[in-house]
Amino acid sequence: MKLRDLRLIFWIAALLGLLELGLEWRAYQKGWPTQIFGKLEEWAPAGEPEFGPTSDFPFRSRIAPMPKAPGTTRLWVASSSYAEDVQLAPDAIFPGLIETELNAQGIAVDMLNASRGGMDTRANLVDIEELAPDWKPDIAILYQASNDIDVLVLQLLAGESAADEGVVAREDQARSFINPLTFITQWTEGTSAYAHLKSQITTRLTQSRVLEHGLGAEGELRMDELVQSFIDSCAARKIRPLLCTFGTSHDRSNLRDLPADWGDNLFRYNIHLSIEGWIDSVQVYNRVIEKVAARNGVPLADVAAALRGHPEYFRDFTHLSAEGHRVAADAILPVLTGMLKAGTPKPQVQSESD
Amino acid sequence: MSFNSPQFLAFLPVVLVLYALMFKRDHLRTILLLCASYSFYMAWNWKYAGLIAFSTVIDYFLGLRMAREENHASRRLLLIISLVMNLGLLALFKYYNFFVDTLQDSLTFFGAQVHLPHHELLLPVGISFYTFQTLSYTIDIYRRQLGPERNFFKFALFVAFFPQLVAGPIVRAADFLPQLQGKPDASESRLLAGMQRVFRGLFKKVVIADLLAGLAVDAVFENPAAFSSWDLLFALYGYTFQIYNDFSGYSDIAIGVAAMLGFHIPENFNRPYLSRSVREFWTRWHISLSSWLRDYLYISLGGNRSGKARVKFNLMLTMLLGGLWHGAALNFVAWGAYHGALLFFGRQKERAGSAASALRVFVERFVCFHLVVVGWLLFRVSGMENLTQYLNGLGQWTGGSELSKLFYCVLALGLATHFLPAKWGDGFGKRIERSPIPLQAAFYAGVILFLCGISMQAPAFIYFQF
Repeated sequence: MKLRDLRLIFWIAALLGLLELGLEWRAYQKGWPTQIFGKLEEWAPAGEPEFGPTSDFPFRSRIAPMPKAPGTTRLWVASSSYAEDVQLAPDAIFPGLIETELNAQGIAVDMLNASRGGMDTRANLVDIEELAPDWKPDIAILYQASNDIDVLVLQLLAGESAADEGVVAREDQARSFINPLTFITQWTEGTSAYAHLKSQITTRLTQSRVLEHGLGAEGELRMDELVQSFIDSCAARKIRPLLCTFGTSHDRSNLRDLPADWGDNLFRYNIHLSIEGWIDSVQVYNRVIEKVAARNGVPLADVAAALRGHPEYFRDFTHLSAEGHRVAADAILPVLTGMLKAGTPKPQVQSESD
Repeated sequence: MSFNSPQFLAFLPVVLVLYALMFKRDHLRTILLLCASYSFYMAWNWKYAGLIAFSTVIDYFLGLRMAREENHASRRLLLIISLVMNLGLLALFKYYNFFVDTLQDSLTFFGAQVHLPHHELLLPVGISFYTFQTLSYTIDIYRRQLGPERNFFKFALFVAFFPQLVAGPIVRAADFLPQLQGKPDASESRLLAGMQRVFRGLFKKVVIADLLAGLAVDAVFENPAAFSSWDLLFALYGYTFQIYNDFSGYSDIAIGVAAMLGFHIPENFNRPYLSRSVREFWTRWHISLSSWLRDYLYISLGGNRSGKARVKFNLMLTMLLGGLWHGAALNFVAWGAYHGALLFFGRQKERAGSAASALRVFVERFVCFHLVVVGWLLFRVSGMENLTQYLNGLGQWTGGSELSKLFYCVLALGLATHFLPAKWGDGFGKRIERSPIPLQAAFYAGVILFLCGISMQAPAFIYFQF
């Protein structure tokens, strides 16, 4: 065997490489983060960056020094891609809009937008545990749902054991000295071709599976535990929590108008729950949020109500348009202002007997 | 590392390039393939590579010693050591908890309350396959049918050769070791044919087996009570084609990768659902295991040469152990017993003679296929309750289907690829082979992307668990 005998393989590699290069360039031009070209920082001003994240300031918001200025209130946003929104400038997404508005009203605030794509509430809690002691936030805003539902789908519909196996496999991989293999998986999953294949093929196939239509009573219970753990974690660190209901572009009443590609998107990370099941699970989540807020005496911003019936506030099923961010900020601001002016009492850590 | 993973997509070309660079040097070539094989295995769990290494070392030295030994009793002792070591590891990792549970249940049934200890060890991937492979080596040397391999690295490569390491085909030393003595027959045409075989296997696994599982089979078997009799019946047909395409797909990939490296691995499947009898089925399904069981177990027990009762016993024991080989659970034992019974009654029937008209061939194939399908129900269920639910559901004759059209399309594809003449697929393959290289590359690149798109949430190969 000679190297020349492998020319078919080299040709295949070259064609796949060229395709990926083209797709990466296209994604880069659209402002998406890419593995080869990085990210087109259109919104970033030249010179010193005004917004994070940077190595010293791990938040997607206006850079502030770690020591808190006297008289300033620190706001923390615990969310995911909906509040990170890499497609818009940091001051055009709802955490940035809130900061700008409050400062304009003469209320000195620093926004620490700790939201990153793919985070669920548990990941938010890890962030609070690791970063909050240094950055000392006063108020933490929780805006979550879909990633929590995705995790619950894995735990409840794919079977707890399947989720556990996933964790064990990842841990085993991490411990394995053949780490290049883990790198290959991560790199492959980061390619533009992978993203296209997932949205064009995988999501469509998923809709032909036998799907479940809800997470059941156990799902509701787990959601309750998650939100409660957020409140408890905040209370333990003397942070005042603010809960938000979660908005979606469509609900049962206008489901027929849901664009096909928005529906497909729901199956990128979930292969077990139907669209109806997904929508109902968000409703259940919002009911849980309201119930937990009332139980703990925690302020609640009804973002879902403000966004309901306006698909134009969204650019897909869960991610907001620029207008949607404005509406979400407007829904949160009065509650936040009320907290800042009145000084809502901090919730107590729930005892085990609760 | 699974054949349908991105890691393997990167791993194989790297191995091939290094292999081509080192091809002329016999020793380097062997070392490279050995390192690649251990890397491939360690991608799952590096700790368990020690088990393969242990079996390799033991059987290498036992083989050398056995070949030198003239005394029959000593040779027998060496064989027993090999059997105890290899089967002992298999029993410890795969069957210990099952036997303990069974014993505990039996004792409880008789009123004794005892708590026997379990282990929490993971089942090493492919242990059943490489154990049988190394056993064939020592048994063949014991029988003086094979000389020992003196080069340790070549022997280690025989045990750990990555294309068939974790899910077969079970390759015998007599077939593989001679191929390591000279330069492997690796040429561009062999490589292209091997690659085509790999893609055929991936198609079977990703497009047919995984889609059947994902679209219906898994959900229906998970909760049979929620589905109509129609759905239960078609999910069972779905599983019949899922398991065939999953396992034969793996064998195709293994045979194809080995061919790309210049090695020949025996066929493992020959369109088994075309069989006219269960006996014929076992000459077409998992051929390397059934022939292993025939040569090393059934014949060792006396085979057909003993009395009627003894033949019956040999057959049943072989099939029971064959069932148990697949997994430490009662449903696999029941599946083995079911096939043992079918083989026994089939033997009696075949003796009555058979002149084959087309109608008779069709009826025999139809009956045999459905007997095998019933066996797959035993094989797939998760326990007695699951089986009862499934049978109850089937017996209710309720109609209506929740299964998607795509599922029925994939099932039809599974039927077509199995039952239609093989030359149709071969003709398409030959047309691709005759195309210019850039065109072939574009075709394969498209296939890779398509398969990646389908396989993103795909499960591992079924036979990995065995």
